[in-house]
Parts: sequence; structure tokens; C-alpha cells
Amino acid sequence: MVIIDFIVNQILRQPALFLGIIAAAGLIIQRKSLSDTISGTAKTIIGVVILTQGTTILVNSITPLSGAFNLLYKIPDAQALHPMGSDNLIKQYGSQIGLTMLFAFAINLIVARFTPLKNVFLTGHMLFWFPFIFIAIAIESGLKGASIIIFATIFTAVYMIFAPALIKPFVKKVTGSDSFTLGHPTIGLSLLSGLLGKWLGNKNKSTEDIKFPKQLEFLREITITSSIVMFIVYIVIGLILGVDRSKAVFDKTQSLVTFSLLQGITFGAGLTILLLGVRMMLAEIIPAFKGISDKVIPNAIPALDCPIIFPFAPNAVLIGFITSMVTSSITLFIIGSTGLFPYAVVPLTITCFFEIGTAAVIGNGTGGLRGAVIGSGVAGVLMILLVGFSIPFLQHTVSDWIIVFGGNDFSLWSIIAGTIGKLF
Amino acid sequence: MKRLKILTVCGFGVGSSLVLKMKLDELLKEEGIDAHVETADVGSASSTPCDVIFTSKELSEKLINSVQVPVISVSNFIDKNEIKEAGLEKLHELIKE
Repeated sequence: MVIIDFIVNQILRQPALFLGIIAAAGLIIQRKSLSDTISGTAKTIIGVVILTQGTTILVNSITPLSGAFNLLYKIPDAQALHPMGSDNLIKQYGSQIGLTMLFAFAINLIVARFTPLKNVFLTGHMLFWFPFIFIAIAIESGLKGASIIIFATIFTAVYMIFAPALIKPFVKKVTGSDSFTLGHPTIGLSLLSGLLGKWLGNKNKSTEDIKFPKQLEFLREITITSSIVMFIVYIVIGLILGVDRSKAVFDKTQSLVTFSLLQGITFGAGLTILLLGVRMMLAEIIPAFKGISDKVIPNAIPALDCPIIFPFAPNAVLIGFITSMVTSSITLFIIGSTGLFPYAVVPLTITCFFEIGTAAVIGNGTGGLRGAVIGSGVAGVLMILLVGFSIPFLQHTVSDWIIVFGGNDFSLWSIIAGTIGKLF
Repeated sequence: MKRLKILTVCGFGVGSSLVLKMKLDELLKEEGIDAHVETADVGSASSTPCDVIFTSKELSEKLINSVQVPVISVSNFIDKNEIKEAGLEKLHELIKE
């Protein structure tokens, strides 16, 4: 009993060690050498630790903005958002996230093996973040113990099985083949863009027929782009508040420009560290998942990360990014003046690039340049509404995370799962 | 024969580069080449030591000016034949060096 108690309470409750065990099992199944198994397991464990540290830096870089918005909307501290924080959620519930990953993936494999839905979800980081968000919703809904894992597993599995199947015909319009589909929270926005392209687009002129200025290529480096955007956000919010008032929530000694610049850079640094952590955490687990999938379901259709589709229409990605940054910023200004969302909603650089960039590629596939522009423009507006309406559903847990990475299926499904969770 | 270190690169270094890595691993196994494949994001790729980089066409244009090693561009990350045609010769060359 002492041993079981030690394993359950000391090891399985430590997310880093738990994911290390999953990686070790994967490496042993793949019959890797002892040396590869040890280094792979160690890297996974280190990756989890780096991930939580990176999340802390990233979230801290936007925390002053929440204070600024509270001041701007005159929200008393008692009513302001006080999330436990995404880093704390991973520290406390990381093992539940790991178990949900395993169970949901197993259900996905069983469905792919025995039904005509042959897609298998293989986007590594999304296999982590979907359980993460559904576990947060389960906690918000007041669930305890095993029911948290059951709730998160059901929603993760439903998403992993049906969302990639829905977007598959649209992916085929872009790639011309059935070899893969998307497994990424862009799917809702991409479906919308694909349908808008179909109804309102014009296939005669593609995004790839136009010459795109080479000077804008730097936008593809998203850690840099998002740093610049966060810098601008700080400056703008600081000026709206007034330089003197902003000092109260920003920094008392630094000038607004210096402070904004450093916060923007810290955002990029936190994002880079977070990505390094995710990369190390999943470098061994995902190939193991794929190995199992290859063995069990030889004719599986992998549901993959969205940049896989970027080379089919690289111009569309940048057009979608720029269009949605414009439409979402306008939406933010209009909504900001109405006070509809009494908390920090900031431009979502990452979502505009990956999710809506993909939506533009899909819109181009069904409706050419016009389809890409209309699809991504509307997606930019919807993104702001989605993130704004999803924040209350995550206010005690990871609202700090959703204001950076939301506005996509994470937000949409937080609203859906959160509404259902309230029934319990 | 030295063990090559190959870097696969995408925007975030977590998703599509991992897909490319897994395809590349398959190819290397078939060809009997002993190499270690790692993933990276486009920002940190130029400061990660390696022997050769595999990435998409758009990102290769960014990387080619900032790194000393060969950059091989692949447009379809899950097309093993394209990866083979684009990079196999270079890999054999690098092993001989």
C-alpha cells in the first residue's frame, strides 16, 4: 500500500514525472536504445518544467494590461478577474491533462478503427491544450475527482473525432487529395471562411496570382510579430489612460515607451520559451502516438497542424493575417467603447496568423482572393466576440491563457462545454 | 561516418515541423542513414547548431541568408517522395564529408 500510495500521490500527481512516464513507455514500445530512452524521458520531463515557466513569463507580460483595463472600465478589484492561472492549472492538474490525452486519443483510435471516420488527431500541442481547456471548464463547473477527467475526455474525444472530419472536404479543395485533414482549433473559423468563400467568392482570381511585397515576409516570424503587436497595444492603452494614470498600473519609474517595449519583448521571450517546452515535452510522445496509430489503423487519415496547408497558398496566409488584424482591431475599438466586455481583450496576433491564416487558405480554396479576404475579415470580427464571450467561462481558472491563445475553437468549445457544464 | 544532425523548421517549431521530422525519420530508416532529427521554430533555428535544415519554401527564403548550413525546402511535409527528391542527395553528400 505504501508503494501504491507513493506512486499515486508522489509521482502521478507530478505532471512532469507523469508525462515522463508516458514518454518512457512510448520509447520502450518503439524499442529505442537505452540511451535514447533515458535522454528522451529526461527531455520530456524538462520540457514540462520549461513549459510552465514559459507560461508564467508570457502571462506576466500581459498582467499589467488587465490592471490597465480594470482602471479604464473602473472595475472594483473584487469584481476583477482572479484566475488561478494557466501555470498553476498545469502544476496542479497536469496529470489529469496527461490522462485525458491518453484516454481521448484511445477513443479516437477505436472510432477510426471501427467506423468510417478514419481521421486520427496527431497535432501534438493541441492534444495537450484541448484537455487543458476542458479540464479548466470542468473545474469551473464544480466537478471533482475522476469526473473532471471523464468530462474532459468526452469533450476532447468528440472534438478530435468530428472537427477534423467536418473540415476535410474543404482541405481537399485546397490540396486536391485526401491524404490529410486539419487537427487544429482553426476548424470553426476555417469552416466559416470556406462557406463564405463558396457563397460570395470568385474562384477566377486566386491569392497566389498576386505579387506580394517581399518586405512583409518578416510577419511570418510570429514571435517577433506578436512582440511588436504587444508593444503597440501597451502604447495605445497607455495613451488612452493618459501617461500619468498609466504609471499607476504599469511602472512608476520607466517611461511608457520603455515599459511597453520591454513588455512586448518579454511576451516574445515567454512565447519562445513556452514553445521550447512544448517541443521538448512532445518530441517523444507524439511519434509514439503515431507509431501506435500506424500499427492499428493502416488507412488512417492524419489530422495535422495547420501550417501543413500553408505552402498550398502562402500569400493567402499573410492576406488572412493582415485582413483579420485590421477587422479585429476595428471590432475591439467599437466594442471597447461600448464596454460590452469589462476585461482585457487584446489583439490576438497568434490566432490571426495561424487560425485565420489557415481560414484564408481555405477561403481561397472555395472562393479565390475574394473568398480569402471576406472569410478572414469576418473571422477577425468573430474571433473577438468568441474570446470575449469565453472569458467568463474561464474566469476562475485560465482566463489569462484564453486572452492570448483564444478566439478560436478553444473559445467556442469553452462556451459550449461551459454551458453544458452548468447543467450539472 | 559521422552522425548527422538535421533540423526541421516551421513557424512555431511544435506542429508541422514535427510532422516533417516523423516523415524524415521514416525516410532515413529506409535509406539506412543514421541521423538525429530535431525540430525548431523559425526564430531560434539560426542559432541552433545542425548540419542541414529542412523547411517550407516560404521559410527557407528567410533562413537561407542567416545560416551557414544547407537549407532544403519541401512544400508538402507529408510527401515522402518529395522529401526524398529534395534532400536525399544532399544527405549522402554530407555524410561523406
